[in-house]
Amino acid sequence: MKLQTKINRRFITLLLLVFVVAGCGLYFTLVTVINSNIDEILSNRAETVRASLHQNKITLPFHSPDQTIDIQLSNEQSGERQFSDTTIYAASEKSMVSARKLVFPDRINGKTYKVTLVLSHLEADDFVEVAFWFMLGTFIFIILALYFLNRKLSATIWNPFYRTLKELTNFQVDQKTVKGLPSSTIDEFGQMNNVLNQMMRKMTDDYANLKEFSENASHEMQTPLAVVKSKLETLLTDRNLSEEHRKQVQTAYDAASRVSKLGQTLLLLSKIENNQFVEKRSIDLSALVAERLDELDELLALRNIEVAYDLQQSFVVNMNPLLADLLVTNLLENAIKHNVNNGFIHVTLHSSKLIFRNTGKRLQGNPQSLFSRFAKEGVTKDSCGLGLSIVAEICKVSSLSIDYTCVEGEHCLTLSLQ
Amino acid sequence: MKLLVVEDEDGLRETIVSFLEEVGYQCEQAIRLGMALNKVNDYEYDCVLVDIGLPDGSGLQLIREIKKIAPTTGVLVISARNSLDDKITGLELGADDYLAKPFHLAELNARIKSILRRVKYDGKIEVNIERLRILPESRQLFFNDEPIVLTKKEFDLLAFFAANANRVLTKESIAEHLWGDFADAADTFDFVYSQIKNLRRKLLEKTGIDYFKNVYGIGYMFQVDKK
Repeated sequence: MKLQTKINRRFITLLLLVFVVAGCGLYFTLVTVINSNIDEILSNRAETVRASLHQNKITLPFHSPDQTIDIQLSNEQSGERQFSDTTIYAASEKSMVSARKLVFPDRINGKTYKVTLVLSHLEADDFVEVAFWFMLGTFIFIILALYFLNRKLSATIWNPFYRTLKELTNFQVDQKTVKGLPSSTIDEFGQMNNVLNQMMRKMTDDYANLKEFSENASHEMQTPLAVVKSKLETLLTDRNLSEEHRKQVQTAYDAASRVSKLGQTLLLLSKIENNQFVEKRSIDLSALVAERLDELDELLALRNIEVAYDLQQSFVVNMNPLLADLLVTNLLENAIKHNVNNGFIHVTLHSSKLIFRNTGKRLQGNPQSLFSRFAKEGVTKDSCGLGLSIVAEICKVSSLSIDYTCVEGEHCLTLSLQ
Repeated sequence: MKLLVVEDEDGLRETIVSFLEEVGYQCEQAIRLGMALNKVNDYEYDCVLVDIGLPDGSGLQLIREIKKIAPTTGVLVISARNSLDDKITGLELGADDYLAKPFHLAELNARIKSILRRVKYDGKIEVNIERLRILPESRQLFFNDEPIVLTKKEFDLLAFFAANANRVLTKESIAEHLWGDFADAADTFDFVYSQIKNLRRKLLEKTGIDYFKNVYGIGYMFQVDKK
């Protein structure tokens, strides 16, 4: 709900309450004032009637055709002047209308008469009705005025706010230059834009610095390693090398390869964490898995690993294509590396969950630490224990979740959308 | 064939140059970007190896210059930055291939050969080794005009060996060439062994020649008579 709408709703609710209370107050005040007015008129009329009676101008008993004056002989010797509410037939309205009645006794020629005077509210009712419509009109007018005011406000006053919001939505941390938010004549918005500008600049700077750092670190590390590896490789293929020396060179070569791979992997992890893989596309992971498995056919056949996959349906994820490739590669590599000969790899898609099941040696360590860095099972010396942490990291930035379960020597990794 | 190696790290540049000269290329070297720019302006090269991170500028600038002056010159980017941006920009600027450091020299050799084939002969060249005729583009192999059917990986393997004929190839470089990301998966060396065994058997059956030589502990060599 928009802020302005929320404010308006509160305001209108309060306004409604105020109008109801004020309306009731006005009604009762009006009724009281009108009643006392009518009572006064009745009192005056009573004096006139009494004067006429005492001058014997009226033949008794008397009953006026419009029912406003009624003088009857009464058995009661005494009584009090009494005002009360009643109804009377109004010829103009052709219905009964409410009215005020004044009853008082009078003694004429030694007889007691009960005099009843009635006066209808007709004009007063109109008055109340007019007041009601007037108030309703005012209420509607205020709401209309509010509506047009808001339209004007959101077009002018709120405009800088919406512009800022749009800029922020489109903001990407990898953009080289920050356009900067426009300044505003409204203090609050101006202040907000300033703070946001600073934050955005800081974010892009940090991002660029970290990106440059990881690239430079990679360069500084891989270049000497490239020297080491190429020199050792040249040495290895030298036919004059003795068997003893060759073994030593091979060991050094293997170690250099591992350091190089480790460096690459760690930098890759920091790049994923730094969200350097920005571009996202819809990628069908199940198609990717099927494709990769086909490529690995021969490799799997060698170890006699049975592969079965049921990937008819697609498993579409909005993620970076490079990361998708890395994810699938790492998951399959994991399934092959830790498999046993004559084992199997089953990949199934079940209720939007991509499940990798494979045979393998029993897990020695804690299953919880499987995804943490350098967690290795010590079975394969080529492994540096980073494969599944890359998987976990990719899942984190791609709104995927990954779970590990192990049932009777069957390792099961489940990939699902978050 | 004349190559230019642009690389600021002395050790690596020397190794690359001595390796490529041994293979049979004529090599020139440049240490800095300025030097490389002068050289590509003054001479014509068949292929230029460009390092992206140079002390006085980015190798990307050199690629732009080369593609402007001599579009038929092949460009191979060798970078240790392993940055996706560099790779994409490099290839967009017209680089023909990208190789991340560290790399195997045999891989470098195979890539250069493939670039030269593409740039100089539109990829329509065939590789003739004795009576073997390899068509890289259509992925076919003939012996005395008789086709030999190979699997995809076997063909890759043969092409890699043919590019590095009479050189010892380490198991690591073969595995990495064939499997790339999956080279780490356990027992790929066994796989290399079995794959070479199959290829060797197929070639032996059809040609009666055993091309492969097992170099104990190191790897394999594709032996052909030097002309």
